[in-house]
Amino acid sequence: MTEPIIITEHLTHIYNPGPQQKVALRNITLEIEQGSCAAIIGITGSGKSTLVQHFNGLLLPTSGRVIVNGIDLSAKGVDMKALRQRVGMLFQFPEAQLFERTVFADVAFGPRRMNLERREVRRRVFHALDTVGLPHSTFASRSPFALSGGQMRRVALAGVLAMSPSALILDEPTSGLDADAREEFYYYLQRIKQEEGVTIVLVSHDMAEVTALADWLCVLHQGNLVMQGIPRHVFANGDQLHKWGLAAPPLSELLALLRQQGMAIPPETLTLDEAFDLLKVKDRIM
Amino acid sequence: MNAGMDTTGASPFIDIQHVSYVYTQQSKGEPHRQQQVQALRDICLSVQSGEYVAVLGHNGSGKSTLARHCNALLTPDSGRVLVAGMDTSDETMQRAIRDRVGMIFQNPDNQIIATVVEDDVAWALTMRGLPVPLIRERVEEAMEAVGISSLRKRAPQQLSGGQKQRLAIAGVLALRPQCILADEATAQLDPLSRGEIVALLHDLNRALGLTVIQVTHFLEEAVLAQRIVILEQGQIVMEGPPSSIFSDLERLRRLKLAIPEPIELASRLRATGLPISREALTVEAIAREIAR
Repeated sequence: MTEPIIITEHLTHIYNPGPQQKVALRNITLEIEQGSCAAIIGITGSGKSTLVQHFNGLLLPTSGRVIVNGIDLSAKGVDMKALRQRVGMLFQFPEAQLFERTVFADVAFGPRRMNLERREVRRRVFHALDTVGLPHSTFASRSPFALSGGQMRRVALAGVLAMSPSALILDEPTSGLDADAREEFYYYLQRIKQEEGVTIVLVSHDMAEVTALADWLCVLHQGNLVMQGIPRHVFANGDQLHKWGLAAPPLSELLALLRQQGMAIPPETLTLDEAFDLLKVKDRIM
Repeated sequence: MNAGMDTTGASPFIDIQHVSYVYTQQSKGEPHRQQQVQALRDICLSVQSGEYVAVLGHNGSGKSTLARHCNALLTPDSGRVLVAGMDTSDETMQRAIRDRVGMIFQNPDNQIIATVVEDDVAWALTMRGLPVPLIRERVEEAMEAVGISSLRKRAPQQLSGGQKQRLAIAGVLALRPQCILADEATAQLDPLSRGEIVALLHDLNRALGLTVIQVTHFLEEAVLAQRIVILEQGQIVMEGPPSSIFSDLERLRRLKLAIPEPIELASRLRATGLPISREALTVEAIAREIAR
């Protein structure tokens, strides 16, 4: 079993403490394993963004602890700048934050501020671009604004990767992209996880995205952590997800309906291939 | 309803005749150069009154440009668009056209003006100087139709994304249009709210007889439409009822549209000889067919 990279212990966050206070997170205890992809799911206002902003110290808990790489973020003297290099964050529609004249300059923006040698900056930028499928020899000198929406978003991703983070927090990373661009983005994120060993934390309400990427799900509802587990188990609880304003992926909903009809479909069935293999020999499960 | 309506028998409510449209944009990466983009090429499409049409295509296929031609936000470079018999290029008609074809956009925040829900619904009516009792009646009716009556005193920023889109729809309904044009109105919503907004559009289509044109890049949102129109590079490349559109999944994939998994599963099972009707496209219908 690998070490958790991010731990929260009884994390409670209260906005505006006092008579007008709003409890955004209540007593959240969770662990995110190094090298895994965890997804935080929940409807708007469930506390997803508040939670992940604790992972790189943008917010500190009102009570409880957040521990990243073994360091308690509420302790005195934590180097927040170093922390934010280790835990990179990609906000929604990050392409809106591109601003430089060339792809190279945009991706180099972060590493340049880390006081690295020029050659090291160059190496990191090239490597980050190659990793997100924008070969540096073709793309480094182009204008970021001459790229497609999906490519621009990967430039933004490369900008975070070039800081060599050990964890990456992504807020709705593929919303607004079309099917092709989305598939490509999933592919490169998988590569970043597998080849670079970067832990990925996904904030999402897109269940297709979650199914494609995550190996652990945390479900938030009104600031409470109401369920966590591997996707197969969480999506087998369609009725409960509905109560929290969420829907299992359409295929899981279909399988749930078939179970109601009395078909013997194991609750952990998740993918299209698994469902097909079961149903093509339908007589066996009727 | 609206006075002076052209309802000449069987003529379509919206008639798009050989429309082409080119827009000029700054050349990507070279701000000084201008670039011509042919967004629509010789499009012919007619929409009947009371019809529900879904317009699909990936980003950049021209579907939003086409939608904007249906209420005179854009006018064709060549060809013409008639809405209830009125030519969208005739500037004296554009106000009347927009009263009949109300548009809902992707980002609800850009469509909300007032600080209280019911005032926002009333906004366009107030701007038109209608008498207060009439405004009240229309606002009540519109809020009722989209199910936000209980939120009337709320501030719009307190609403969820789905509620904001309902508010935007109510604002359009208050003008008593004949057609609602929803341009990617669900793109920024969570899956449950997305389903609810599509269901609402279908309700309005059935209950009020509103013509609905729904622009989306989600195939699963189009399965209940009467007709699907798919655009690629500014041209209509597929058109027909959902059951025929979904009979060629390979082609849909090539058009960069994501196939809903239940439909993919049904198609693969059908290929092995299971008798699954091609009409079954919703999760519920596919489940019934498989369990039969």
